[in-house]
Amino acid sequence: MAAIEIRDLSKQFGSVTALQNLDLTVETGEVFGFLGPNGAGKSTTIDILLNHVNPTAGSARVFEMDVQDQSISVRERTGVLPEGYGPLGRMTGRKHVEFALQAKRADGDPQTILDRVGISNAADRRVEDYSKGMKQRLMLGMAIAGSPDLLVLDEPTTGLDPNGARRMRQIVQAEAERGTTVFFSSHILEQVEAVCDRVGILNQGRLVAVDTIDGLRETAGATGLLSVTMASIPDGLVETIRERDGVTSVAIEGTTLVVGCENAAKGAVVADCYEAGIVENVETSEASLEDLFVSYTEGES
Amino acid sequence: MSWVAVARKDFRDAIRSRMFWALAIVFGLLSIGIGGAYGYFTDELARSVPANEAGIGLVFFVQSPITIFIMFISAIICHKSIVGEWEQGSLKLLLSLPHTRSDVILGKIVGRAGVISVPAIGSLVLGLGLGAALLGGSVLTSVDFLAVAAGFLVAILVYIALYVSIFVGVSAITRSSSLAVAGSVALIVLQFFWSIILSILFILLESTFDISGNADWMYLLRMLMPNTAFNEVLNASLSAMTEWPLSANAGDIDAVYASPWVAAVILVLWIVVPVAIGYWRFESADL
Repeated sequence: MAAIEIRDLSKQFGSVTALQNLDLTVETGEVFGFLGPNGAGKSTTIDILLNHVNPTAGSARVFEMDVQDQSISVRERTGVLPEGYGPLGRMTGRKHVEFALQAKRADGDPQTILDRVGISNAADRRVEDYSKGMKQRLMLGMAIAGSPDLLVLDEPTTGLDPNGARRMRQIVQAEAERGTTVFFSSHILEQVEAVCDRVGILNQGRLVAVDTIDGLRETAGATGLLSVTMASIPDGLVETIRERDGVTSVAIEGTTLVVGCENAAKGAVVADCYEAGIVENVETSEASLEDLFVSYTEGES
Repeated sequence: MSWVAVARKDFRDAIRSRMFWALAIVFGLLSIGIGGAYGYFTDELARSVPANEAGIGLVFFVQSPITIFIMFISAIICHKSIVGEWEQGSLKLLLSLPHTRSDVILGKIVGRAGVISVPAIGSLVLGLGLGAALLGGSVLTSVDFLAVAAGFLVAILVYIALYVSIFVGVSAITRSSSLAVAGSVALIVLQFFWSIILSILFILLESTFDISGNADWMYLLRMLMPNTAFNEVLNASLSAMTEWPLSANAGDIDAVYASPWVAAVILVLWIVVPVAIGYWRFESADL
């Protein structure tokens, strides 16, 4: 059974397209990384899953339940760490976890949960006095309260120090071992790389890649960056190169062309440059996963 | 029943704020001041009336300033209850848990009504008690006074529910805090000027049409505001409880619709309609 099934999902906010024909399936038990720059549509997707926002077209199902018609059942099985959640209230950390447990109609010991997220010593302090990182930990505690079947984490490492980020990864791994499906959104590749089985890369409301981390590495290995420095860049050259098969991106830095392309296409690109003008220098390098992510999300792909 | 949890959280959050304690203190001082002043300054002549009448006079003396105060307080405490959390993003947190949006609206109404009711009832018991004690005689133990005072406290709870419901409704209807402020202020101002507006309307109509013979329908217009409707129902209810001659406005008018029941229906509509519109807007809105 799929934990999340998104079919042809679109969302318009006025004239702005936040999501366009998104298709995505996350299997039960999977740790899925949802990557993309800010504004790519990650939070909109999560908002639709939680029925905060109505889709313009398409459908989404969580554990085979429609996210609009059966939203309460969906949220009963889902732990959420929302992004930009605002103030929490004036109760203590313990009361907050109790509130989450009560809402999910679940048993559980608030102290144990606070201990897992590393703020048990602040359990009886009011959350107004918490630091940003402590609030984020408390939110994670509220998310894992009641042992949800699906954990939705929207930019979970925002505001966490390296220790906190490591603890976050450990908790995600522990939850995944318990069989929980994790949907982890982030704009930082390395956060996702460390914990996720598969990632989807979202850019400008479109899903531009879905693959395992290893699969993405292979793709990255087969492509590279080619820097061609020229005396001047002739008109029309960029367009010619962009139209070649295997070229994913073309950028201009001064009089240097930076071309992201499959290794096999490099020769043809260099030949194009020789034909069009005076080439002063050529450098080539293999793309890292980071480069690949950048090439997917810089809008040139 | 998840609204109970929302209401409890809302109430707990509120009573931990300084605002709540400021409200409780002002409420207490106001109530004790008004009740005490009535008891202290009532002259011998007024004191010589039967104890029940003196006590009932006290209740009515307290009623007007307290209800207006509650109207303002409700506006201040409730106008941001939904739209404020919407803007800050804490609504997403609440609705990421398995609460429905109606749970949130109902929980907010009950929670904030509790926040106002607790200091209101406490203060009124103190204020009426002090006033009755100062009036002396047997006022404090007069059955009529105690009945009217108890009825008045119940009415105040209805009044709080009325305004909390209206302003939480306004908060759910609007899409920004400043619009919620504007809407709440507009409703309050409209009530203060309602009788003047109606007088002007009446003069205009009178100069245009021949309506001098019968203006009973003005009763219905007067009753349209929540405060007038509330006062009409309160007067009718309290006078039914005692021998005290406080006839409601409707008493002077000989028309089928001139009945406190009409005012009661209008009152119920004010409790239900704004919040129903708010629910309808909020239920399917993008957060």
